[in-house]
Amino acid sequence: MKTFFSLLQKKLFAENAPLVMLVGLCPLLIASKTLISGLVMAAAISSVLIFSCVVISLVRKLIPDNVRLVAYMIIIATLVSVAEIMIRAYLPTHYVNLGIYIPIIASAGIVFAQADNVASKNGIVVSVIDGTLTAITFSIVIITVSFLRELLGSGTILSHRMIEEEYGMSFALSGGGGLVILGMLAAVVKKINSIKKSKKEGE
Amino acid sequence: MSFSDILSLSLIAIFAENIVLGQMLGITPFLKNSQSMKSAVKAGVSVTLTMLVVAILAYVTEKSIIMPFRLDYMRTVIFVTIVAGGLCICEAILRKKSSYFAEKTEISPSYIAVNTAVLGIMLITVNANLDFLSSVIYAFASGIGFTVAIIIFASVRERLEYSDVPKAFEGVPIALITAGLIALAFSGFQGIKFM
Repeated sequence: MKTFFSLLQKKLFAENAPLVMLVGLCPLLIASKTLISGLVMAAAISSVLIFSCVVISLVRKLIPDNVRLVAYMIIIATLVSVAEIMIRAYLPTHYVNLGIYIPIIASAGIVFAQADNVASKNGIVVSVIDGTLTAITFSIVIITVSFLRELLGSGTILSHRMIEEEYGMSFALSGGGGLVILGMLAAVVKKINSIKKSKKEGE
Repeated sequence: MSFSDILSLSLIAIFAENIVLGQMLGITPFLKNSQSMKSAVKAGVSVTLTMLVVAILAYVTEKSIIMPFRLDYMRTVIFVTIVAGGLCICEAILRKKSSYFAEKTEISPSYIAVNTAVLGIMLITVNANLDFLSSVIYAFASGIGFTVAIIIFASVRERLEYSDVPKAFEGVPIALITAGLIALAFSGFQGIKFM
C-alpha cells in the first residue's frame, strides 16, 4: 500500500500526464466546462486507459514493430466506440453535450502514450497498475479544472448556485480560460516538484 | 457554390472556428511542435496536407460504406483505421523510395495520426453533413488555421525564451497561459458575421 502511494505521488507530480507531459489536453479542455461533464469524461478516459492496457499488454508479442501504431490505435478506437455506445445508452443528455468529443479520445495522446510507453513493454499486472495510476491522475486534474471553471464561469457547482449569476466570468468558460487555469495548475505542480527536488538534495 | 460562399466558409474555418484556438482540437501537437519556427512550419504543412486528404477519404467512406450499410457505430474505428493505416503505408513507401528519409529514422509521419485535429476534422465535416466541395474547403482552411495559429504561437515562444519569467512558470506553464491569451484574442473573431 505504501509503494502504491509513493507511485501515485510520482505520477501525480513528477510525471503528471496532462500538466508535465502535455498529453490528453484536448479532451481535458473540451469536457471541463461543467463538473458533471468533467466527471463523464474522466470515467470514459479511465475505462479506455485501463482496458487498453489490459488488451495491449496481452497481445504485445503478436504485433510486429512497424505496424504497432496502427494496431494500437485500432484497439483503442474499438474501446472508445464501446465507451461511446455506453454513454449514448445510459447518459443520453451528456452524449448530446459532448458530441464528437467522445470519439476524439481515440486519437488523444494520453491513451496512445500509455499504450506505447508502458503496455507494449510490460506484463499485464504492471501495465494495469500504471494505467490505473495515470487514469487517477487525469481524473484528479480534470475534476479540479472543471470545478474551478464551473465555479468561476457560471457560479454553480453541480448546478447548485454558489455565486450570484452576475459575477460569473464568461472567460473561464471559453477555451482560453481553460488554458489559463491549466497553466496556473501546471505552475503549482512545477513548484511542488522543485520543492521536493531541493528537499532531496538537502538530505 | 459562388466565390463569396467559398471565401466566407474558409474565413470561418480559419478565424471564427479556428481548429486549435476555437475548438481546442490538437492542442498537444500545437504545444509540442512550437518550440522553433522551423518545426512549427513543418507541423503546420504536414497537418494541412493530411487534413485535406483525410477529409476527402472521410466523405467517400461516409457516403459509400458507412451510410449504405448503416455502420454508424463503427465510424470511429473506420476513420482511425483510415488515418493510421494511410499514414503507415505512406511511411513505408517513403522509407523504401527515399534515401534521405530512410536515414532520418526519428521522423515518423505516423505520429500525425495521434493528433485530435485530424480525427476531429473528419468527424466535424461528416457530422455537419457538408457536401463534397464544402468539406474539402473547410478541411483545407482548418489546416491553414492550424498553421496560422502555430506560427503565431511559435513566434511568441521565441520571444518568451529571452524574457524574465517567474521560476515556477518557466517552460510549460507560461506556454499554456500564453496559448490561453492567444485563444482569447482569437475569440474576438467569433462575433464577426462573414456572410
